Amino acid sequence: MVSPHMDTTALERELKRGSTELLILALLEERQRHGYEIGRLIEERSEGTINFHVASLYPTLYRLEDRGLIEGRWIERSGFRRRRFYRLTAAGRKVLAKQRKVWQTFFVALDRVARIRHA
Amino acid sequence: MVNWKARIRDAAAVSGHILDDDIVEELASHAVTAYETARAEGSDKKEAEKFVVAMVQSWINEAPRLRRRPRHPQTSLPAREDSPKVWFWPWLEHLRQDVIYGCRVLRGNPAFALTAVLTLALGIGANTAIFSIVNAVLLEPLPYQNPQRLVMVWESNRELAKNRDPVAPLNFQDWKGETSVFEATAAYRYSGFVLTGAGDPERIRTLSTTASLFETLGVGAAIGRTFTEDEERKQDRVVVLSYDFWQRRFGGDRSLIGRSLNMGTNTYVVVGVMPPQFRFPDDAPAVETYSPLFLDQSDLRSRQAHTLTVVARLKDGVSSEKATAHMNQVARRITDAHTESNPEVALFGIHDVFVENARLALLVTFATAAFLLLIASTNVANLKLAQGSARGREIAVRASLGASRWRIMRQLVTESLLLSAIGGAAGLLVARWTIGAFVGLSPNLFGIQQVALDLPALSFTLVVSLMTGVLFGVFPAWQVSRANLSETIKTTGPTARRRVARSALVMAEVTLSIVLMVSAGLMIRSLIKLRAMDYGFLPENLFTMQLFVSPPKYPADPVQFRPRSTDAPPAQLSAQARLFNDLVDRLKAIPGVQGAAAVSALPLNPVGIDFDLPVLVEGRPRPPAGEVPQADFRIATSDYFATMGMRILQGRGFTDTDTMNTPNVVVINDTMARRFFGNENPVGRRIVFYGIPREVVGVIASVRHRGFRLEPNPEMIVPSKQFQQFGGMTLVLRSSLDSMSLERAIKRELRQIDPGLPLSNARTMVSFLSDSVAQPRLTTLLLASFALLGIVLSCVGLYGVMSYGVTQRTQEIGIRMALGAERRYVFRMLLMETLMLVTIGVVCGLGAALVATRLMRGLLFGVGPSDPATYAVSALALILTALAAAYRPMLHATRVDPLKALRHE
Repeated sequence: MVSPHMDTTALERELKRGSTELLILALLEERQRHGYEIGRLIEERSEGTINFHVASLYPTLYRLEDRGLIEGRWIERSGFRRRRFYRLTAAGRKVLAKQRKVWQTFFVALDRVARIRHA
Repeated sequence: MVNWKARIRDAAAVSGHILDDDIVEELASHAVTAYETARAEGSDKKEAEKFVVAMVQSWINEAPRLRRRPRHPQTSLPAREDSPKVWFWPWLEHLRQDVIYGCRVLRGNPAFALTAVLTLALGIGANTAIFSIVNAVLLEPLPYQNPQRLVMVWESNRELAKNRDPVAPLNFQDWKGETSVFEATAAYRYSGFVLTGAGDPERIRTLSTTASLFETLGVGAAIGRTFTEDEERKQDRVVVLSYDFWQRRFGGDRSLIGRSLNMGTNTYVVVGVMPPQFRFPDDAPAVETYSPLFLDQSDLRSRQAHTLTVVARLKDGVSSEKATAHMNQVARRITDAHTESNPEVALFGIHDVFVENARLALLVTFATAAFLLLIASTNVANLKLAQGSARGREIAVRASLGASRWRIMRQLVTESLLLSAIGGAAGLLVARWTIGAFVGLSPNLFGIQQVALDLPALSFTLVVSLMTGVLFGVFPAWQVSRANLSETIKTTGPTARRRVARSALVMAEVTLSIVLMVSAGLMIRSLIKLRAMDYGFLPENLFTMQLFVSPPKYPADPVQFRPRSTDAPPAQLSAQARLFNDLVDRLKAIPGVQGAAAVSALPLNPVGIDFDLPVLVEGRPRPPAGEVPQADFRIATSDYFATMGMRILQGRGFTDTDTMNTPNVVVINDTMARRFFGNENPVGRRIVFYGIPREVVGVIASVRHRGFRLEPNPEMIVPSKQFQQFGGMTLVLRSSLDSMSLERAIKRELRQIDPGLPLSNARTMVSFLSDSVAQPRLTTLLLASFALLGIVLSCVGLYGVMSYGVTQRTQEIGIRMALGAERRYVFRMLLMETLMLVTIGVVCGLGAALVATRLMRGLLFGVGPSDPATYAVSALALILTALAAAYRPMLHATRVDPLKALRHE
């Protein structure tokens, strides 16, 4: 957990680590996507605040796949290169709902204590 | 378009990572998308590529996190880790990298590579060559059907210490009925015929055998047929030719079958030719014809006529032990009825009998070759250690980049295996030359016909090369990989340890070399003793040729087989006897010839009449049957003893006055004198053989007729003018003329008497002598070459260690000298260290040699396996050689300039 004397970079790192799974699962909730798209979307939608290094993006994907929360498969569409697409499984959907709830509660608490508003 | 997949894989490999195919593909897909996006967003090709390359590199830096990509999310992880795909491909990839890297290392250091490959080639080559010979001689099955069921059967008599008595024909006839243990039995003995007719007359080597031989061996004729038991019983004169003889003498003429050959006094009908690979028995020179065994009255008179060799095929399910037990019962039953018969039998596997002469020599040579390989391996290990020190930085860098010790060791061992593989390939060449030289030196030795680098030999080389690679690779790899970054920088730790390791290797080399030297030394001493051995005659300047005569042109009057009454009219010499006596008289007259004689059986080449006879001493009670002592019998012309340089110890030799009209005389050897007469003076006594009493007129020093290993038999010689039947004689000339002119002169003289007679086998006595020690000479030569190679390799190793040690210690030596140590002192210090190293090796080696050389006992002659002189000389020679090898580096050390030395680091 975050220690009282933690500096800001370390805080960012911890936050990122804690939120990675949520971000990926949320992006896959909309539709199936490939790794590049996931990384790119996170970066774009966070307006550059959050970006994932490939070396942590893919291992996270594999870990989620291992846990059965997402499912990846190689897909070849006509006119496109072969790519590996990931989609959310039923179990993933449940976990996403649960995580959303946890973050929701957490942000409310943050707002109350530290006056951080969230959109 | 960039091949991102390959790019990513290579980039990972370069930094020592292996990524799963799946993840590489996914990353490549990511890279391509990133590239396309960059292009779509306005970057030009170059920019886009640069951007993606940087991205890829950043991934690779984090590669450890990317590894072990699960493929099927549902399967549990451990199960997949066992799958060959996960483990085998990376392993192979690592191997490929290691091999490529190893090649680069070898190319980068050609002096090291060349030395190591040459050393290994010698070691592996010697082993492959000896293995090929061992394989051909000792391991290859004999060319008979189920040869492992074939046994040789001898009579034996433990009480009389006879363990391999040839079989009496009467006993063989009784044995033939023993079908409960043997499927088939056959008996044979050697005989010789002079073949006349088309071409030069020629003496041929014949095996007189029962017809059952072919059935027993399970081999039939290649052309025509073998002879039958019916022909044997009816004493039909038929003959089967060996393939080689048929080719050599008759050019493979198929129409020969059914034709007659003039053999001796009779004609024999050729009925068949044996297959090319057939050879029986397995000795040299090979038998050329096979004819039926005819037993005559003298064969069947007593169970003491031990004339036959018996070969038998064991019945299925009957072991050699069981057969021996059964045959022992049979032998005892026979002894109960005929007391003179031997009470036991001895059975030996046919293969053991055929190879027994070669086995020990070959195994000792093989062991020696193995020692040589050990030395070679040790040497290469030493080189690798030295190289490892030089590569310390490289290895430290690899280790600091995360390569595990295991990974570094694997790399180093792979390099060793690469070296040994190249060494093995070069070793095959060495083996080819060695085998060529070996077969050239000993065409008939050990029964070698065709030793080849065949599949077993190649497999052997492969296995030995790999084993060698591991042997010399693991120890240095373990040592070198112990180094870590900080230690390499701080230097002293691993260097000191490695010096100890290298010293240990040198001691091991010295130990191995001493064993080799002692073995070779013992063989050399044996050979010298053999060379200097007194054979009972003076072999130098003796030239010999053989002459065979036969009736009807040269009849042999059988008169000597009847006791001649003293008042009978003077007898005439037979035509045979006259021929030889006349010829020798002519030969004596050749200018430049100091002496000429003829003898029925020459020492070391007993062709002609060479057999033992029962002998009685007149005036003594006749011993019971079975105890009549026997002596070898020969006929010689009057100047034989003088020509050969034999020593007359008592009485006289023959004179021209010993004729048919004077009393019958005989000369015996001192072995016979001792055995028959003990302390009595034999001269003047009379002995009886062939029913004729003869007076002993002289005693000669015993001659080693049967080579150096066998003690002389009792021997008696009668003058040629008192004997009628010869068949063949060997002519002996003492002359310093060259062989060619002597041969021409003899032929010229013979032509004057009879141009149709066959002279053959022109040889010098020295060459017979040389042949008789061919096997020990060859073994000695091999052992000595191996020992010499071993010493050279050890010295190279020692030199390397010393040079290296001195270089490493330049600083230490410099400090010592700066602190006032004199050069003399430094030299002495290094000398003592070297001496210590070598002495420990020598002491260990002498101990090991004491144990190892016991196996050689059977090869040694006139010297024991623990001969102190050989050990002392070997030790001293090795210490001196080692010091000589270490001298230069030691001298170099004393010339160290203290100032430079202190700046060394």
